[in-house]
Amino acid sequence: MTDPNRPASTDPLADRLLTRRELLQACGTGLGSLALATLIGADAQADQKGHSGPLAPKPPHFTPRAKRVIHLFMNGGPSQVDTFDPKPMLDKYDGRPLPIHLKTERKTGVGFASPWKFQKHGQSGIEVSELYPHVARHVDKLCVVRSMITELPNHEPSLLMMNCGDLRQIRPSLGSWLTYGLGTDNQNLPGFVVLCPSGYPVSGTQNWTAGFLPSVYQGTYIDTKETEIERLIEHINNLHSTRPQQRRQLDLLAQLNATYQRSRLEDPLIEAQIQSYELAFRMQAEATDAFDVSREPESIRQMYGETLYGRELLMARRLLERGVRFVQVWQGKDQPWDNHEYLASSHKMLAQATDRAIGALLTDLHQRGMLEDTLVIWGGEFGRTPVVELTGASGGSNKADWGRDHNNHGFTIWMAGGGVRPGYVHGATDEFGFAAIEDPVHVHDLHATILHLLGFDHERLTYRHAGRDFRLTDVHGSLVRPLIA
Amino acid sequence: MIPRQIKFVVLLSCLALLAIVQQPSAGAQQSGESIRPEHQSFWSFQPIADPPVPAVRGEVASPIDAFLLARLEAVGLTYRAESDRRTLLRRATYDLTGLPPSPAEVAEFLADRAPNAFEKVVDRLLASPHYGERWGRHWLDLARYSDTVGMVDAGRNLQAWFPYAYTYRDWVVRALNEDLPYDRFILQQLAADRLPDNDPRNLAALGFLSLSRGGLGVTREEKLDDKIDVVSRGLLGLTVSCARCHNHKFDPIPTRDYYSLFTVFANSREPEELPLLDARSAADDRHARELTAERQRVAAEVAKLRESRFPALKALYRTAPEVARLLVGVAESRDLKTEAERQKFAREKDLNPFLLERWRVAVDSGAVWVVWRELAAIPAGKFSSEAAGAAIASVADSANPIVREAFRTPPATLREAADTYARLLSAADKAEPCADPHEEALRLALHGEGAPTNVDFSDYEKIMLSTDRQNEGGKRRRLETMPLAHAYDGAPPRAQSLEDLPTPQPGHILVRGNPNNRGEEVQPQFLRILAGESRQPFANGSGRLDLARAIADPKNPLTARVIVNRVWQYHFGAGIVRTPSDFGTRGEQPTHPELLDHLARGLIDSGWSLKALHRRIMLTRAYRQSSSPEMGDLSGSRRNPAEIDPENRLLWKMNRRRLEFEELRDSLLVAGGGLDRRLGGLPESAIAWPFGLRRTLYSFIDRALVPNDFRVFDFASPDVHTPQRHLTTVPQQALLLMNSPFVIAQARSLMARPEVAASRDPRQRVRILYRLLFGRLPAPAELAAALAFVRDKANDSPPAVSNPGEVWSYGTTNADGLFSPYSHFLSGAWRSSPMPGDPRTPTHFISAHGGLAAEEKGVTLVRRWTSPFDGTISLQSLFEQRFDNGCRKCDGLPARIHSSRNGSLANWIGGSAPVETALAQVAVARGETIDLVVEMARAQEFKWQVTIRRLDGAVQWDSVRDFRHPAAGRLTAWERYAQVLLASAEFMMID
Repeated sequence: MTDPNRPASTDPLADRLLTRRELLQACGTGLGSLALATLIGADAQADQKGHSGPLAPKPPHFTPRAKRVIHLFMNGGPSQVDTFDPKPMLDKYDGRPLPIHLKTERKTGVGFASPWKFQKHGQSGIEVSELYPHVARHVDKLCVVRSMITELPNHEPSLLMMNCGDLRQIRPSLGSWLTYGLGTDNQNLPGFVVLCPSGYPVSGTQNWTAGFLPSVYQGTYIDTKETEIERLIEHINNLHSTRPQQRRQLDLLAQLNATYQRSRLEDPLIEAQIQSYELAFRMQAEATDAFDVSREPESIRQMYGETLYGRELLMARRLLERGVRFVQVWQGKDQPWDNHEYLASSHKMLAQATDRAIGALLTDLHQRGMLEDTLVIWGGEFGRTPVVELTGASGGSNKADWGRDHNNHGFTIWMAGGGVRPGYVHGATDEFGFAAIEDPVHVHDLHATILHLLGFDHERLTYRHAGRDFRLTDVHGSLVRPLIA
Repeated sequence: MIPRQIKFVVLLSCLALLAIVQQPSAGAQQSGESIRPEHQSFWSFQPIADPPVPAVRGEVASPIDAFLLARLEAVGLTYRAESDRRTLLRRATYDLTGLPPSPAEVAEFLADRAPNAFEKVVDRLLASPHYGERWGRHWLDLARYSDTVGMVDAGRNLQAWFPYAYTYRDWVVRALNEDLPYDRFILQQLAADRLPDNDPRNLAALGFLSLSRGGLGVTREEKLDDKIDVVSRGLLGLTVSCARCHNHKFDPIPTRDYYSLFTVFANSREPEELPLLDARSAADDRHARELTAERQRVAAEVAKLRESRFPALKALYRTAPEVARLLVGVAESRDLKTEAERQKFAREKDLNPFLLERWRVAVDSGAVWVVWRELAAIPAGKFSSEAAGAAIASVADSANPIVREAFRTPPATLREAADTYARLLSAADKAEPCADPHEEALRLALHGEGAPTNVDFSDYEKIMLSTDRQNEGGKRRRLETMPLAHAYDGAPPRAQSLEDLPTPQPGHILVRGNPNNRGEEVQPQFLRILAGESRQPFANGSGRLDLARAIADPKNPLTARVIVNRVWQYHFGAGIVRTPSDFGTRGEQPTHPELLDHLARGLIDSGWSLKALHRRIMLTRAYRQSSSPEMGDLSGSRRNPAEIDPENRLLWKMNRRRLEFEELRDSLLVAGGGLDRRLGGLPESAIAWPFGLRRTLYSFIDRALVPNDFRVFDFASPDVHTPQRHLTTVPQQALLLMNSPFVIAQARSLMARPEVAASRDPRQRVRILYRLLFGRLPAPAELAAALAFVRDKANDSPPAVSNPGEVWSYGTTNADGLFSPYSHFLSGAWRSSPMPGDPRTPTHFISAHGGLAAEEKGVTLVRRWTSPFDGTISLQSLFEQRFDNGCRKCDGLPARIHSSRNGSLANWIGGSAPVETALAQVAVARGETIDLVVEMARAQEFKWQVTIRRLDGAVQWDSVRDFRHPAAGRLTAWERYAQVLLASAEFMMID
């Protein structure tokens, strides 16, 4: 029976609180980190740097080629025949019906030759359209897949397929699987970061959902239009206190928690709680630094270009450099590449807005020695038709108004760094660029290959949910060996 | 409460893989539907037994203790000592109500010397209306509760909302508070509409089925799958959804059984008009009348749109490429005998099936088509110029001469022939009759009576394009959001109900889950493993009521076991079966099978009373034992239970847990003294400012946008059934407690509570705080630390000179120029709705750097500066419009700077270049307003930074720098201290 007017603690030491130094020493002896390891489970032992928790670095199945990923998501679907898949036959059929017709989302009509010229580049001689002069200089680093296929010509299912490996159901995204499998190298930053200016792409947070994985593996969305850190990470700044004031608060908190913990020593949950405040305190400084691109030298900023996208990619590189596992960069909210009309002017503007920065990213990663273990992925959720679309302004007499419909039958993505085969073109579409006919690569196959580059057998990276073991590739997908260097 | 999921997953996945590897075709080869012997004898399918209570050495407070102690004693363990009363009360109060005990309740319990003091506490808590709120939320996790449906318009990021999801939430709370027997609880949630003499208020229970995720990209089949999942995992602990594409790989659930349940739900639908919970409210339902009027208006508009669109649509199908494609389609599909086959062909080839049929008939007759018929009759593979020439020659006499002329050079392919025909028809595509009869014949092939392209207006829907559908959807948008607007505008509550189809349709297996691949017919009926070989098909409407009865049958071996296990899990942190929604062969075995049956049997015998179950569980020694070791426990003198049973499966101690998000937020509100304890009603934002004071249960739950604060604290996914919340500890949780304006507001409120503020003596004040928050007094060291902290001047914010933010206000003006300030602050912006993505309100807002305009005629967006002095200012303005990638038709936003005394000071129309404005000298009077105005011409983002300087240089205002969260401001050392207490482990943990 307890006397209501007496403190509950019967701990004889309770009349003297530990100092912060004593506390940190106690934690440093390993008691704390050991306890944490049991909290998290079998394969998450605290590593040598003392990392622990669900995001602690974990080894994959085998030695990985890539340690981190940056996915340049060209949302809306860029046209392959205008970018990385030249089709001279289209010039012949410009304005005439093609001998083949495939169903896409909307009504389409005659052949629509690319408004841009292609040219061979580099030693590999891979052809790139004049939309991408900067990227073209790096062509010998690229592994271009011209035979991508996906299942539907609609944005929502195709976005989910590209990100989560399923057309409709809520499944964990690639970035979530990777942070679940690998943890992340910097505990002071989120392991999976999603950058998109001004709002969400179509399907919003579903693109980076953790699905049934613990929500700690969900992508952290950052609105890159914002320049202030508090808009980038919720509650990262304190509006009321200076840093020393907050330090004193946390020192007091640590003392109180130490007393609480002393009579409950075996419980790792309390230890994790206590540690999380110190992590958060460090995160405030580290995140502010990571997202502040103004700390880059002038020359680097100029190389990326003082544009929104340039700032995005520079931010992404700073995050990757600091140990973030997966950064996904969306070109813009909604679906900027979805040019059903006015393709000539729109694709040009979109390529121009990104070309320089992508070139700079490849140069920058290369110069820092990061490219070899950073996998760069460029592409959309699908491609576009080689024929003109017949709705809206498109399809009329003025060719400047013309656009292209979605195309799931064949499209192009490219990868660089991270163990992919450089200066290589994989697969091919038909003579018009409509459908993949040579070595088609389904999105599931791409996922299997990406997981392989990160050190995983896609069939063994699983999570038990609702009675069965799920994986990113579901029951599909096979490794595309030729893509690997 | 240790998050074992992760560990188990790894382990189980490995086991599963091993099993698959070792028996590569176990699932595939034994795919027959006969039930295997190991399933017949599997524990969870056996009838619920009434096991004898074992004899044990230790003291028992109930048979439950005997079952637990029997296992413990067998390995040489026993319970820990009983928790101290303060801990016990806190544990019981949070467990049953999700709220902390009040200091008075603590005092009362500590003073109660009666032997049944704890029993009285449990009874009091079970009678509290907050019991239903806490346990209702557990149920909502299982029912994937959400106030929104999903995304419906990707381009505008527009969500659809359920107008009346909240009536389901409130029904659950009420049912639990009233201790509705669990079998009735199930019947109501599956078939309230089919129960005889049912209170219409119970229709709200059907939200259990109807709140599936929907919207773009979610098919009907997925919604039905979701219902099967929620029912089968939620009520039966069976993963029936695994049998959607093939027989369940591990459990005795054939695909046929999946489609039996599928048929039940496929024969149910959401009613066009949601039923009122109280029919009497229909009489003066002005909202319902408004809706009818709107329906008529939309119908008229759509009719007008169709009329104007029709000619262009017909013209499209008369163009040469379209004619050519359809002709080729006719030829290629000539061997397809049924219309269904031809429809499938048309879908694959992207041809309009209706027009394909018409062309097929048209080319069968008439002189125009004589040549075509001959050419089309040439067998595929035999087509050549020679064959074509011969074919044409054979009908030269009867053919239309223009056609004959065009085919003077015979075509090399049928496609070429189609192109030629298309060219001829397209040349003859004229509105007026032609003089030349042959040319007229060609014209009539497109325009004549019965010509394939001369479609009747009544067939408009058959030829409309997807874009036409989208346009019509745009017209209907207001109609679609109207019921929602009404719901939030105080319309009488309705149920998110279901009803049976008037004529149930037969069900089919969808082979491999493919909706286009119908297999054999199936009956709506219950699962074979549970219903036995002699099961009868459901005969009552869709069969939902029959299904509900089969689930709620006391003979069903799963239903009672599954729910008692869930209740056990929510009390102890882990279930007796640790896979609470999988009682199949791949789930975990129960740690205490006899105890599980004892509890299940007891539930049924008590008339399915959940409250009686709580009582039985909580009045055990097991529940009352301590989570903390006693001083001797760690000395090594006794056997260390942590080595024998590291996961505490045998319950040799109570599990400690962290507050769940709802408990945390509610407790913070209790600490601040402001918790609004009203029950039920429309959802409210939990995160917007002004901060809502209602329990977190009533927060608006948006599938597409679960707020950061919820997510970082492992809130249940609103998309799918969640049997158990994850438990993670991440620094973002600490950031929330350290920095969130909400937490700081509660720390302030706590210090402002009369009982705290009234105390002048710092020692006394610390004691009061400890009593309020922890139900105890501080230890001497804690008191000393507190006093040292609050006496340290460095912990006080310096007194503010003046708050530069006070001169700014944010809002809109209407056509009369009347300013109304924004009511809410959320995600760094002032706005009119606390819920982002609210389809009822415009999306415009003002943020630090600028804002977002919407399309709203006559309304302007205003950032207002009110002069605090008489004098002269200078003003610098930089206005930029933000063009998103891909914007081609972005006209500028009109903007201006407007003084309340002197009218317009500057104005411009934004464009791609920034607009700089400098006003060197503006005389202002105290109280005068300078408005930075943006016209709501269209949805468009803009950036606008303005600095205003007093000419005497004393003060400068900056629209970006001065922009801050309305709750930001000074903190005293005491408030900082209070915040530390709110962030402490003692506050966050339940021992």
